[in-house]
Amino acid sequence: MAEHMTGLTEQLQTFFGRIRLRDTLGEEEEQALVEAASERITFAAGEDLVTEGDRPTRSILLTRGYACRYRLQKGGGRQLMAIHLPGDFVDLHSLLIKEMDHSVGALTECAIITFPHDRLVRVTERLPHLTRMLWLLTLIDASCHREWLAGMGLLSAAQRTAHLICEIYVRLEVVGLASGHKFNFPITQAALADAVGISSVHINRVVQELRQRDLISWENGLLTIHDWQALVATADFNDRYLHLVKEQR
Amino acid sequence: MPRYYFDVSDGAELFIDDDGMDLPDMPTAIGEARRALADMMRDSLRADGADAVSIAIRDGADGPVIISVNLTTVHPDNTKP
Repeated sequence: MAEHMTGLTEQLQTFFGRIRLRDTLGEEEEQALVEAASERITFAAGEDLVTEGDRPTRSILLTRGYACRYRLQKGGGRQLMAIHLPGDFVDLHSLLIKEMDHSVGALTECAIITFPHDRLVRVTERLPHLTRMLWLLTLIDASCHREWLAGMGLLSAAQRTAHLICEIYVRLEVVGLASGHKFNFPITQAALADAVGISSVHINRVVQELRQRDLISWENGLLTIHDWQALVATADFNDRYLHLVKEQR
Repeated sequence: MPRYYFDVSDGAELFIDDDGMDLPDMPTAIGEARRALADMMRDSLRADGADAVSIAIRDGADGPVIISVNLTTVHPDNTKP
């Protein structure tokens, strides 16, 4: 049991890091989260972590891999609404919304930790500051949705792609999962197309255009940003919506 | 499934597709190209980009099939040339 706890504490460090970027996280709060954690599960790429219409009894936190929040159209079309990274509490939503209005899928192999809802409810009853931190995380999820929505209306496909690359790099970099303007990005081009909201044919051309402008390269799942300032300028990227300021909340 | 290559030409630039996509048949490939053209034309119009965008679909067996969109601006009541 003690070993199980140590393992969980280790695997939750990236998540704790995401909270600590924005405020302090007390020892008691950390401990409460470790105690609320339950199982460790892995998923293969393409599998659903949670499916639209489900009524989950647990929330899931991503510890390894890339996941996405998505909707499917009857005709087979897919739109991603968010890409989730290690340390993201991807499905904190189901604690309160109950019935899933979208799915969460694994874009690569993923490892998760489950948090039974009854335990999370007890955490919220006992620790108000930690509760506000969990609330903040879902607000940041919403902020990312707003950013993507604004991009859909205002940015070109190349700009949206550049913007997504900036976003993912920053979100990895702030918790030490990337540095030197490169990161592992082993998702398919089709998944990237679904995130940007364009066809696979178009994403091919967009990625080629970003390559030809020497902004990025993307080979064997490794994405390298060659000119960060130029990529940021192209995307009109401002990380304000990620709320990376540490202050009392 | 056969592999289809989509070479995109917009304005001065030509993007040769080296990767291609595996699709069931040419009608499906044409559908993909039409969707891509709609996206591209939207961006092109907003950015004051190219007036003509075309996609040439290549595969080993048949093709190429060329699908294009041409945007023209006319002034029907203007008598000057």
